[in-house]
Amino acid sequence: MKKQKTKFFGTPRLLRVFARHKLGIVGLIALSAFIAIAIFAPVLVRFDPYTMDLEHAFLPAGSGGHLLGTDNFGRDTLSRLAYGARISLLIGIVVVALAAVVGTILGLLSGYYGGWVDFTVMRLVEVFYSFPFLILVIAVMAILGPSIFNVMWVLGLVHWPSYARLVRAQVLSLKNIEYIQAARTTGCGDARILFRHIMPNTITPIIVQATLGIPGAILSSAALGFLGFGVQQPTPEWGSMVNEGKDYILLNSNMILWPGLCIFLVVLSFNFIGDALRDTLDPRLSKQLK
Amino acid sequence: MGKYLARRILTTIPVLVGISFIVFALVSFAPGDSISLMLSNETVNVENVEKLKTELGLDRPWYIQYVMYMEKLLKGDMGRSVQFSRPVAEMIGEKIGNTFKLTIFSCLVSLCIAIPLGVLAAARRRSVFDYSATAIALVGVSMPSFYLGLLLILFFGLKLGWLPIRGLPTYDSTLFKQIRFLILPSITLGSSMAGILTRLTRATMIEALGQDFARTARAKGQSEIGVLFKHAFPNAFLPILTTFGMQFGSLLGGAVIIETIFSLPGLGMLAMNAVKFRDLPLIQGTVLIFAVCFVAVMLIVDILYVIIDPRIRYD
Repeated sequence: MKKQKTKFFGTPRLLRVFARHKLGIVGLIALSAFIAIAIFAPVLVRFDPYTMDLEHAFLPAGSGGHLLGTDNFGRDTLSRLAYGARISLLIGIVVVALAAVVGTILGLLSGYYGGWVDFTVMRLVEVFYSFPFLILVIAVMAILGPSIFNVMWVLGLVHWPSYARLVRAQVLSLKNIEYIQAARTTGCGDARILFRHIMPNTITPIIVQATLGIPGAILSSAALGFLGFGVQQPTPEWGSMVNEGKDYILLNSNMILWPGLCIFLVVLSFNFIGDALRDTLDPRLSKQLK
Repeated sequence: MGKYLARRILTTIPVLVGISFIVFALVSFAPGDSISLMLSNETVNVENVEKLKTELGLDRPWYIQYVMYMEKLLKGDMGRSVQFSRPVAEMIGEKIGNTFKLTIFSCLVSLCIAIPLGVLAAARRRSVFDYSATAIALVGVSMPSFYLGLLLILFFGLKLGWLPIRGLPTYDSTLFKQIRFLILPSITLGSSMAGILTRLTRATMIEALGQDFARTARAKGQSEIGVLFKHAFPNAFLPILTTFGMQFGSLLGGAVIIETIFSLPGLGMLAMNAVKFRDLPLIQGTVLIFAVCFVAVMLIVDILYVIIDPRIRYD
């Protein structure tokens, strides 16, 4: 598997192809900045994101050392945004990782064994696809109670079907190729064939799908936060910050402008990177669109 | 064709059963006791609780409860709302029309942006149209809909005062008045679909324009407009239709957010209300109706597919 990885990412040609995507590079730089802010948030900001100071609520940007002003409780907006980057990035990555693992395993089993396994998994996929997923997630969150942990696993469980479909299609086209038969004749068991011989070949599309899936996960978790069913106050989460700010939209529009802009920029940079990755790893498509 | 249609309609049955089971499980396996919630306003005594449990069949095993649930559901009985003590089906019936209006308008908005822009972008590569198509596509898919909604409210509603930002006028008001109330919500809800479809229209049109039939059409002297709309677009249309159908689900999901922001009395707001008060029968009912609407749209798209392109026969 290590060899495969170097094959996909180590060759300078692919790096050069990726580098040709200016937007991909822009996305990469912007995302690195957000990741750095998330990691070094305690060092970068002057104020604690949780400390309330009601005397200094709704300060405009720049006054009293608060670069982006303060919110309705007098908390520093910039600090809350910086700490919020941690939450959004974490949720996006964990949700997609969970969905990709569950989807990949079910897709591998479904494509490889066929029969009733395939039938069951595919019907499950169809059922999950037919829910407008945000509604299902809100209902589940309402019943389980909102918390960051629940947000992650519920969103993860809702997003697995697209990975399962993708992997299943790959497995179907791979499983009758000669090298798999060769592996079988040399006495490899099913598990070895699946994970050593088939799975490495499905990694590329999974990576592309995951990169394009993270922004979706961030958007849904922000939407949940906005509706009040995601990460709860006082945790600084961008979606719930917009929710708090919407009541003061005319009084202090900064409260919605900045967190919303952060969500937009993070999602946009993931989309830039995802597009560039897809074009790099799927040259057939990129040639057509050039 | 009849055979295909019959089979396609039959395949929705296991999906509908799966949906009904998930909706049932959502409430039945939920932690917490739904009975104590229902009785919270009355004096709770053990006798009352036991009586209600037997009445609702809650003392039976879950599979029997599911069969009971299905029996009632097939008769159109979705239970009674705890919060309003009214039949859920009746409440959904009152609100569903507004959600339909909102989603249909949003679809129109996104198609009116996506198709002309995508076609122009493909026809004039690297032109202003092409770049604005790419920009709209990226902004559309990256913008959180609640953020866009609030921005539109702030600028067009509050600062400029051009458009109404809350609620819907009554049914008997003029069409023009109703449309005015729907403009901002529809733009907000349709923006993400517009982004996705613009991008797809551009890509499929580029592919179609590069095919042999497009070259042949040009060679025989067909005008460029003719090549675009008579030859390329019909070929590009099928993937657009498929994606449209699949995106309709997220449009319905987005309706919850948009109806909340713009205070539109629709199914989404009803669902949010139910969820806030943990009104379990109403949660079940609204989730179920949303899913059934989506399944119906997917079915219609698949049927349109065969009508539009007679070459397609699924075996």
